[in-house]
Amino acid sequence: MIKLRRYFFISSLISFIVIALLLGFFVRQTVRTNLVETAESKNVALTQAFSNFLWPAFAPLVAESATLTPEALQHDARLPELYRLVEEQLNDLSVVKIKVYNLEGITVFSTEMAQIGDSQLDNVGFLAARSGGVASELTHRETFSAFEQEISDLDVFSSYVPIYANGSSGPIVGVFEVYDDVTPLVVRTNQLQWLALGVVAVLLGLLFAFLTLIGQRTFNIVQGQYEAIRRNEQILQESEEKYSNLFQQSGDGIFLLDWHGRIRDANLRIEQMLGYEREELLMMNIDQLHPENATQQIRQHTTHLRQKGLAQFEIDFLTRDGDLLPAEVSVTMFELNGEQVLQGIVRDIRERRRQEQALRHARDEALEASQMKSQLLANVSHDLRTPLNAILGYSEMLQAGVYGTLSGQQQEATSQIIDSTGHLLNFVNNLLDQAHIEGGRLKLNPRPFPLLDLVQEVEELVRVLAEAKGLALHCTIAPEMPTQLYGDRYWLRQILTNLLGNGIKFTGEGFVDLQIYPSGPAEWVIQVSDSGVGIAPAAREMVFEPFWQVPGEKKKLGSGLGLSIVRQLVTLMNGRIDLHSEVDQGTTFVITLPLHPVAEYVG
Amino acid sequence: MNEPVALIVEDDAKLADIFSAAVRAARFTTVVAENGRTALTLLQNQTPALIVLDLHLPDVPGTEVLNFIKQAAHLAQTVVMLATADAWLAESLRPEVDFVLMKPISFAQLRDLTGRLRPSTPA
Repeated sequence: MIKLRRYFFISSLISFIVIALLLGFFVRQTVRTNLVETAESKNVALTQAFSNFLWPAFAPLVAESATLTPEALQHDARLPELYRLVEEQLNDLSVVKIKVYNLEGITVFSTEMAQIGDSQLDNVGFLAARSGGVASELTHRETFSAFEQEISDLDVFSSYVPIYANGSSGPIVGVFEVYDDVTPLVVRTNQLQWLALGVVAVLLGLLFAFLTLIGQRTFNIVQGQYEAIRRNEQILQESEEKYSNLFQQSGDGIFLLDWHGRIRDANLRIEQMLGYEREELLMMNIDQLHPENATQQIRQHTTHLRQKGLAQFEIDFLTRDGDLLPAEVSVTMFELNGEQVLQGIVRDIRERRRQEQALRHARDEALEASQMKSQLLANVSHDLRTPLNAILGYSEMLQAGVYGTLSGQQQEATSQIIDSTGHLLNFVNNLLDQAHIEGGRLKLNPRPFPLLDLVQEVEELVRVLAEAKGLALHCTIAPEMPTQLYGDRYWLRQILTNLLGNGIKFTGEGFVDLQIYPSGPAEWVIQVSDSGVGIAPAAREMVFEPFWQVPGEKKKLGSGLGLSIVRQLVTLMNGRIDLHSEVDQGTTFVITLPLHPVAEYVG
Repeated sequence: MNEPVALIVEDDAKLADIFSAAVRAARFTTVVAENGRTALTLLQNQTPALIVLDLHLPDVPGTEVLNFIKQAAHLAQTVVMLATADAWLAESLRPEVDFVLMKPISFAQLRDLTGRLRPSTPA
């Protein structure tokens, strides 16, 4: 670009110099022609004057000259008189020399005497004048023999002019040569020339400067555009390179297709996936790469692609070996060299399919195992409880005297059976509950229920135990509590019986209290207090762990699951459990649960 | 005056024995059905005052027997007690019946409960 500007600058400079030189030459020629014409007409006028005034004096000598030898001519006696006449006539003129020739070319007279008698017959100027023309010549002379003395460094304009017998008419009788000193004229002409040249140069210089300025501006604009184009080209090239890299090095297979399904290009990954060489693929149609039953599917996706500009689907490819290759395909379209092209990105999803299948299999197995476990639990539950029920029932019947009155020892033994069965039952129940909760399969089944009903049921269940130990049992429901609650009655009953059962178990004397009251607009509290042994601070977190037992307690009082189950159930119900206790003073459990009065769910 | 009749539907013979004893102790006359089909046959033309119904029966599901009871007009006044070890099923059926007894069922509790339910008959 910079080079181009330099070329422009240099070529325009050269053009201007050439134009200046041509113009200068033209001016010089014009001026010189003008000068020649002026000088010539002056010399012709002089000749006219010479004819009029001097010719009568010269005519006899000229007439005789043909018969005289050059020596005779040089020494002719009339010459001094003629010289004087010429000098007189030309005194005030710029003429520095005159010569007169006869028609034979012999110099009859010259202000330079030595030249008299010379022949000019071969002189072109003379010959032209003898034929009636005028021939002139401008010459610069270093030295010149003028009338009186040698003069040097002058411009001389000499003309051969014909002399007519009667002024300007009649036959030509001789030739007159005038040497006019035109030095001042030439000097002035030269000055004029230089001035003209200077003006032209200045004007051209200005023009050049102006052009250069415009050129510079134009170049700047052009250069800006040129750089913009270059930049765009660069961006385009980078983008092309990027796409090309993406295309070739992509971890996914990439196809380029036309709307007829003919493969226009395919990357390396496609070759690897399908086992065909690129050259082979370029001869193929995409239909050949799918199993036959996929044709309909392809038609549908093509329609979708036309409508939405994008189609994403999963489809099977057919490899060279005839294997099916499940793939995820994403097709878009774009313009390439003025033609619409489809680009399909193909991802091998064999591994994903395998994982999905393995996952499905694992899930099915887990579900099956889970169902089997559920079934097992239900069976165990039923099969344990039924014989236990028989043991309990018959023992109670014995105790109740259905089979006759028992002796003291028999009564005692029956009581032991009933007592142990109760413990065993409690243990089994807790174990089953825990298994149920741990399996993560415990789903709460909330429904409306009367609160009083639940409390009475629980009270009835545990009253026997409390009374057996001589403990006072109080159950109170605050009057602000709604009569109907929404919740899982079964698991709430477990919470209540576990807490109350625990309280009774660890209280030697005194009381066990159940209080139910609202603690806020949307919360209610189950509070169970006892006057029992209490829980040491260190053990307060431990009591909620499964299978935790009071340390050092020889007689196992239960499964160690009761409180663990309670806490898990409370968490499931989005509630919280707090524990306040002092050793030997008693324990209070406070369970706070979200309150769902049944009105919210009815209607 | 005849004693009110209680139908005990229970496939386990020992439990049927215990339940019968408890209900008899409350001065009911008891009839035992060892399976659902027998229970359904008996209930076609009998109207017991009390039914103790085990849900876990060998032939037809206890729930089917319960549905029959709920739909039979002549059984509208009958008191229905579910006796089951299936806590979740029991909870879901609680609104449909008068009492839900979770196995193991105490002889004494059943005797006392049914005693309270005995219809007061004019002397």
